[in-house]
Amino acid sequence: MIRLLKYDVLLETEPFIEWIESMALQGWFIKYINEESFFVHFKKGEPQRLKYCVFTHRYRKFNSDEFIATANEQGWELVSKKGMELFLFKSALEEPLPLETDLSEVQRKNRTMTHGSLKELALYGILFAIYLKLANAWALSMLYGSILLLLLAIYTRRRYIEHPDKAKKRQVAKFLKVYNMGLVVTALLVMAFSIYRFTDSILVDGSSPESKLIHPQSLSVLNTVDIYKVEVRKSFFSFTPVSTSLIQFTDTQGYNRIIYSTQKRIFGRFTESDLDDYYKSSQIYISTSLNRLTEWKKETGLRTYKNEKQDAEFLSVFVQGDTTYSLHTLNFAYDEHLELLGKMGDNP
Amino acid sequence: MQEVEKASEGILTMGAGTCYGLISKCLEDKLIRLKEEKLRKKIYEITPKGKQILQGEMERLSKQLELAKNYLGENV
Repeated sequence: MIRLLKYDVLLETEPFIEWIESMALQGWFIKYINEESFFVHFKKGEPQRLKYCVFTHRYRKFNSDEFIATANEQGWELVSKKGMELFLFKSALEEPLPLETDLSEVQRKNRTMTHGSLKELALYGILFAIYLKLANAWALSMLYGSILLLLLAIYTRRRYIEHPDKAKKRQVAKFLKVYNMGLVVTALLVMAFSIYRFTDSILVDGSSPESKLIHPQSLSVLNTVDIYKVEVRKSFFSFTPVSTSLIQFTDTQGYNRIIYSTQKRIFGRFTESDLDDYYKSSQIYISTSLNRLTEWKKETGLRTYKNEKQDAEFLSVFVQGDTTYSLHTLNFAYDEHLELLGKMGDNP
Repeated sequence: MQEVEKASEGILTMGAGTCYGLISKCLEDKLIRLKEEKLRKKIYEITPKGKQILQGEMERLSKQLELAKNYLGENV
């Protein structure tokens, strides 16, 4: 039988134990505990009066085997072990010796852990705020942010649950439940939205007034060149989200131009090696996925252009024409920053 | 654990979790070290640092006891 885990295994240890002991009285015996799980498995048996005990520790040099053997000698039988840190024991004895007999040590540990956990929580908030501030591409940052949120949810849940707080554990447990649930829900919503954004495809007539409304940040470019077509393709590859833009336009001197750019962002900024790696991967991507660009390449004799400016987030350009052209920070709907300064190719 | 109970004449009992928690803590603080391993039984010995800490703690407790006796005198 699978039942919803209503309690934090360690923050609400007492009610959790009362619950599984009452289940044992009804003939349902817990099989395994996992503090990160939302469900508990029970197996059917003869009703029995049992005592349960949850034990955790944070020691690096903890001798689990000897501990379990000694606990057995004291009348405790291991029910489940999660990693090397979380143990669930049962005992058929009426009054078994508790596994933890030094209550002052338990209290000291609890106080330290509660303070430590609150500090961690504050630190996560600050780090996440910095991260969002640094990340430029909002859709990508949202995606990575959501993954980060999920990891935080799992990690903070673990950290808190590992440290039962005798005095405030009820309040802490309730707060953490809401906090973690909020993180998970937010992360899932953001992730879903991010994926939706990445699988989106926009085809805009760049000369139309609507395009200026859709891309208000690109007004500076639209005012200097006559963009007649903007096509944005975005792809989502599991752990490698890639924004791809394919821009075909006619510049003020009458040359047809096509700019292809593809971006992979992890934490906002590219390093030099990222650029090199990405340049290679973008070539593969072009040959396998962008058939249309390949066709255009054949038709127009396009060639690749690699930006030498390392801090620019512009990666590769296919361009026809040789006129010196400057494209300043072209921001499209998904906040992709392109900066291209200088020569872009040869005259046709 | 049995030794602790025996030495304290049954006043102190030590659970397995407390015992192995203390061993782990003492190992991490280098107060004890593994001396030998027989089958699945490990024997630890106190380190010089552990002896020093133990000596200091014994002196501290003795001092406290002495102070308490001096202060309370015959009222105890």
